[in-house]
Amino acid sequence: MAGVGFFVCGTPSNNRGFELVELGPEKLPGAPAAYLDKAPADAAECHRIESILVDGQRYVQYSRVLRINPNDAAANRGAYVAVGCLIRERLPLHTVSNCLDVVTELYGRVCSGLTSDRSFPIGYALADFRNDGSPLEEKAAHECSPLLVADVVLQALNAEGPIDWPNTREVLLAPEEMTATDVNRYQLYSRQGALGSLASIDSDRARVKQTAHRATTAAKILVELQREWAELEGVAERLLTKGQAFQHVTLDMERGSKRDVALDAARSRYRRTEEKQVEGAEPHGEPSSFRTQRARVGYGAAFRRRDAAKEAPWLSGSGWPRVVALVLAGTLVAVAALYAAQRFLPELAVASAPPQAVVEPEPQQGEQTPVPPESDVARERAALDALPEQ
Amino acid sequence: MAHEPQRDFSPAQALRANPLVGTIVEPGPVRIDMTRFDNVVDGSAIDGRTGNFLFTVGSVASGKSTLQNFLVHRLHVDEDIHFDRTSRDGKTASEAYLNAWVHNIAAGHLPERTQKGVLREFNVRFGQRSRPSLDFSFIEIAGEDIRSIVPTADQNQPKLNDHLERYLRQSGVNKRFLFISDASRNRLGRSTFDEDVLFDTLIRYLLSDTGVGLKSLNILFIAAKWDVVQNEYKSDRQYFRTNFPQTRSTVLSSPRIKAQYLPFSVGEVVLEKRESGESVARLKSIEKKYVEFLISWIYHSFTQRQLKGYPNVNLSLWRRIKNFLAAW
Repeated sequence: MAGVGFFVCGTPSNNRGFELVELGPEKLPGAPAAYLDKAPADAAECHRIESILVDGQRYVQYSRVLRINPNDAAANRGAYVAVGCLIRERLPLHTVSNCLDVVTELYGRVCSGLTSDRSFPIGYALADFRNDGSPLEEKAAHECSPLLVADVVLQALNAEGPIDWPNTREVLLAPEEMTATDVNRYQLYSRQGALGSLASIDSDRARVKQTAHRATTAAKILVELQREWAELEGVAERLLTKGQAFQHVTLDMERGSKRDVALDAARSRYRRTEEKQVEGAEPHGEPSSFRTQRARVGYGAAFRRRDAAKEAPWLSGSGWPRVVALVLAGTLVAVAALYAAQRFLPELAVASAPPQAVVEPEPQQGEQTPVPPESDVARERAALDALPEQ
Repeated sequence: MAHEPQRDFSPAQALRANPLVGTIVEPGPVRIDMTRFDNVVDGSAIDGRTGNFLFTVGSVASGKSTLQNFLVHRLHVDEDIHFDRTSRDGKTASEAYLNAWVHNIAAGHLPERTQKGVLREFNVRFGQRSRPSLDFSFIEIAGEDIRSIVPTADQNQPKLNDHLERYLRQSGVNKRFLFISDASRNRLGRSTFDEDVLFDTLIRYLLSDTGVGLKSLNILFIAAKWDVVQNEYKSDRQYFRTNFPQTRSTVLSSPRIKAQYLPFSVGEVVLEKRESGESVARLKSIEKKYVEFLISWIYHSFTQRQLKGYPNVNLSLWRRIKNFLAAW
């Protein structure tokens, strides 16, 4: 529960002066002594409700104050003990009622330490006071408040309301287990008049808060989705670029292999011609100088290829295995590129980017956090993943 | 160097109450609730302050507010003094506050404890027909906000109240100090030296370059509630020698400190039991000689002049010798 800080303060000792214990859950703002150190004017015991301004923020302080006698001086200069809470924001009726109940409980525990002359034992220090019970924020958040209990008690006294009193011996209200629905079932008087209007406003506010919280959560998820979408687009573009570059490389390789095949065929023909020339008479028509030059050129190219074959053994030998290997590699690359393109291109083409998210203001601290609608995101993710397979 | 005050105060029992100031109305009128006034310093008008300033410091419940109440009450009721409440901000809350002090003391109500974390400033002026008027300001602050300067295990950083610190650091302010000791807490042989530690720490902080860095200190040490211990100590001098050894040592060793000592008592106080079961101190008669010495000291300290009809704070050689002998 946000916006509430419980405290115990006072002056049990005249010589030690003001003492303060903060019990949480919220920390008291500013310099607490400046607005808490106030003795009751005349009455020995009183409830104090005070509107105070701390650092420009309005708070409401509620406390139970008791004038006491100091444990180290005969004269009383305004010694007191106070137990209360400081509330920052408007809280539901049942929560405020619970806060008052908590204060009363703490007040009782503090006052139980007083002696018969209404002073604390010598050496007693408020700083030693601890809340050993269940956490105060839990107690204050219970749906079953003293207001409801009073309502049911009044119903019993008047023998009316939703409970069949003539046939009911007892009604047990367990604050820790009761829900808002249970409270609605038991309420009678506190659902009518101004009190009922207040309770109704509280429930409306709670609903609005819940809706706002859900909308905020949805907007956050949408923003996250947009961010992930943008990342995905970037990855797809990078993949496409790389795929195109790879396609160029494979085309170059394919052209190179075709050229090699053509050259190998020409070399075979040339060898056969040379063998024929060595075996038979010299052919007529071509000048010998020209033949020599071509032979030199042919031998030069053959030597270069032979050297290259020595450096890359997988290119040596017949040209067909190389062609097959290159074609296979090219096919694999093409399949990979096609897969990648199918994986991302259809999404880009079919789906459009999600609309701009409207981020609603953050909900107040301590509001009940509903479970985010993960099913929507999961469905969208599944749909996106399924697209390439269609 | 330290000076000794006049010490020829007669016992409280022998006092003859001045009908103008010493009687308390019976039954007492209702006490004015001082928490209703909103003349709290917010800190916006501290910087750039000039003029005379009287700082009353001491531990919790030492009697700072009571002494200031008596000071204002006495200035108000003495027809030989013209006393005026002035206001820097044009608001009347501070004037009403001082009027309430006068009312409450006249009705026999001693002030209740000052709220922690709250500082109030007052501006007054007083003088006599043939003497110049003295304008000075003083503040009301809780002992908790002063005691916080003493290092303890609970504190992260010992420090004075922020506003008080800022007042002290105003170079244009002419400062005088009243160090109030609660004599009822220093019964003979039972002192815990808490006040000695506080005073010594405070003086060192005021003079230190790492602290406020004042060039000189003009202090009046006051043993409040003197009537409780006056039969235990031979003199106020012995009281301070016994209970403030370290403070005295610091004062005597520093040429920058000018100190004087004064016992202080408000008069006859009785405890009244209320229906609610609490006991409240009530004034039955008012002692004026101590507060008159205090007024005289303040006036002389700032103006170097002597008020007519008020005790002389400048001690003669013979009185100093007498004081010295009395202390032994």
